Amino acid sequence: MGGKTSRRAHTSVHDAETFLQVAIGHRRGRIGEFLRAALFAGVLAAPVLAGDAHAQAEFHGYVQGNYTFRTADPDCPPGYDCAVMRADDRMQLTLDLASADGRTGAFARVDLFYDGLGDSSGVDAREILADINLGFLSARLGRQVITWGLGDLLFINDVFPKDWVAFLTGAPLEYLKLGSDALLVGAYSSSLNAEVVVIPVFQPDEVPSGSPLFFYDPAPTLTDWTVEKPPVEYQNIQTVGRAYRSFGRYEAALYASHGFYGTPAARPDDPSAPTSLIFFYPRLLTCGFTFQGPLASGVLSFEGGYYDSLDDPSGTDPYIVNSQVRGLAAYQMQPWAEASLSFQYYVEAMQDYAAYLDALPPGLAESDELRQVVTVRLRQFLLHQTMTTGFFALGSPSDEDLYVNPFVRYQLTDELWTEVGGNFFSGKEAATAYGQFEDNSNVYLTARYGF
Amino acid sequence: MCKKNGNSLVAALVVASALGAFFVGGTHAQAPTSLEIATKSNQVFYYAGSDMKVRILMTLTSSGGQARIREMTMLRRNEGTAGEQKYFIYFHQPADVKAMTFLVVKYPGKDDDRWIFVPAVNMVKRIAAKDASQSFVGSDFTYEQVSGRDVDADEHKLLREEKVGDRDCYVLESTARSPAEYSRKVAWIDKATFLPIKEEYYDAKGELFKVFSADEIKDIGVVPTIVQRTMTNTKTGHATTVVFKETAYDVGIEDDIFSERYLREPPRKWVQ
Repeated sequence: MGGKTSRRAHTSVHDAETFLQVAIGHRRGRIGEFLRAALFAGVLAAPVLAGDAHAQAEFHGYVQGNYTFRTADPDCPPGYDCAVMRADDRMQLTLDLASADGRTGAFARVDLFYDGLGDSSGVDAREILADINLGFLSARLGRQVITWGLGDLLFINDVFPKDWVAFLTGAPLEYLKLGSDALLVGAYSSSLNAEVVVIPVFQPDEVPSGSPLFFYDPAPTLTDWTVEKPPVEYQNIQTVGRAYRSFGRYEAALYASHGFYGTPAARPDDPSAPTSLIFFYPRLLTCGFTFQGPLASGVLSFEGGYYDSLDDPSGTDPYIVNSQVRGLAAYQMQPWAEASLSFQYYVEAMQDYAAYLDALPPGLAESDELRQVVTVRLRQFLLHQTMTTGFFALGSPSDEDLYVNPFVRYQLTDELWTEVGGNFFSGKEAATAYGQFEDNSNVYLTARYGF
Repeated sequence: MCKKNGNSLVAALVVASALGAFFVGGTHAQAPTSLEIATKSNQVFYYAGSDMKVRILMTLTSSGGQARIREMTMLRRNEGTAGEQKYFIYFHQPADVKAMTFLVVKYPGKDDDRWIFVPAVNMVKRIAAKDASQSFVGSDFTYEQVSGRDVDADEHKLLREEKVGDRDCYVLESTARSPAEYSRKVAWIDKATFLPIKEEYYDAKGELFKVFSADEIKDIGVVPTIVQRTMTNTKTGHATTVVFKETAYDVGIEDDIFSERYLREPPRKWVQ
């Protein structure tokens, strides 16, 4: 790491845990959370099952081991074991209930986990919801994972919460997405479809905040952190919507959201004589579109969006991200048998770059006006699709950083699969999106038995 | 991929309907041509009814005898008369793909459109793939062998007529004109039902590599249907058996089922 700004693992476990608990505390509770989740599920399920002798129930799940080992060799703080980044054993239980006519249902997907790194166990209620289909209307209430937009690990119109820690530490990709405690209402017709999501309590992303991740910390001397989540108030209700329709073989959608950035901004308590860092979530308004259709023998996709940084309209606040225009073009095709190949080009353009430069405090790393990213994903099925291998590679010519995820997955039986892969990060600068994670390069092993 | 143009298919279908009437009439004034046989066979095999709902149990067996199961509900709806079809597939097992859904819109003469829904992340993804060479869920059937191939993507030749068991069959040779998994296929087509009873697939070297057999044919209502079929790779010994557990035609599957909404919110009425 010679010559670079230090990437720091927080040596104070207390700091990191405090941050995590404040930021995501409601998700990873223990028995209390489980009871609450169970009660919630019961309340949701009751009307479905009440008086319905023909209600249907399906029960599934899996047990999974997921272990990640650091391949980078950072200066490990004393008292830390930097070699192991993830030692996660969990059991997922899925219960799907439906009324006899299929119009109403309830669904729960709950993980019981043991985290070998922190020697802690608990309940992770990933989804608990009830839904109803009223013909042209549908509604879904509860904790639910929502994924919109067309980007592959590049998000523009998907403003729903994400778990970047799980992603960076080699968890299966589905753990990147967190549920939102939300009400989703959809209206559907042959000419137009619309969905509105209301999220009463803001849910931030889970971002690196300490062990086991090294990350860029612009103020390593400030170890006193506080997190200010937007209070639960009427004006802090997040609303997200989209409208979409097809034009023959082409699909188009418009999106809008009003809420907060999922990743926190940080400001010192007193810029002239800072003693602590305050993490907060600036207000965000987004609007955007997607467009997708066939081209030659592949699928061509476009996505665009405007990120309006409401708390920094002129771009002069150095601690809040400037408004941005984001754009994405992607193409996916089958190059040969049993394979899929896709490319993406992505760009972020800062809107008030001159103001940003003027306001940038000395010592903070300077971002480029345009952040550009290209990605390639190749996936190959082998042995009657029991083996899948491939890679995802992301490189930024502007940030001069790189992320590569090669993997091999083998389905030993219908019930059991195992995957070995790596997350490799590299960059010239310590402050870039992926360059900062260079010391977190890792290999992971996952095995899952489904039932 | 469903290559070649749709117009000739329309024409072929018209011919097929006329032929159907002709055969039902029972007058064998003239033997059908190879194209007529291929067209009629394609029609009864892939287009029966205005729609179809079927629960499918697929067993994939390796040469070593290890079996894997794919269980799904398939909904199919014919759109118009030009040969367009929509397929909706809901996976019941294995557990790993439970609740995954899949939508295919098949156009004659053009690439299909396909979407897959991944429930764990609630994501709908549109994907491009070549039906002719892509295995359907790892089985010995390609997408094309599940949803059909354009009749005029092959050159057809009537080789002879012979019996398979107690069924009188046309022996039809089809040589690929547009990209296919095979260079040549020989099919034994039942004269009574026009369903394929047996098929042999030959690769570019002219070597036999796959064999299809219709193991059980049943009348579902008035529609003769292959309710059990097997595709065996004679080179690797891998085989796939497909059993139609519950089959129903003309059940009134609504057009809006074949949409992003129902990929995300599987229609329990149809897939339970």
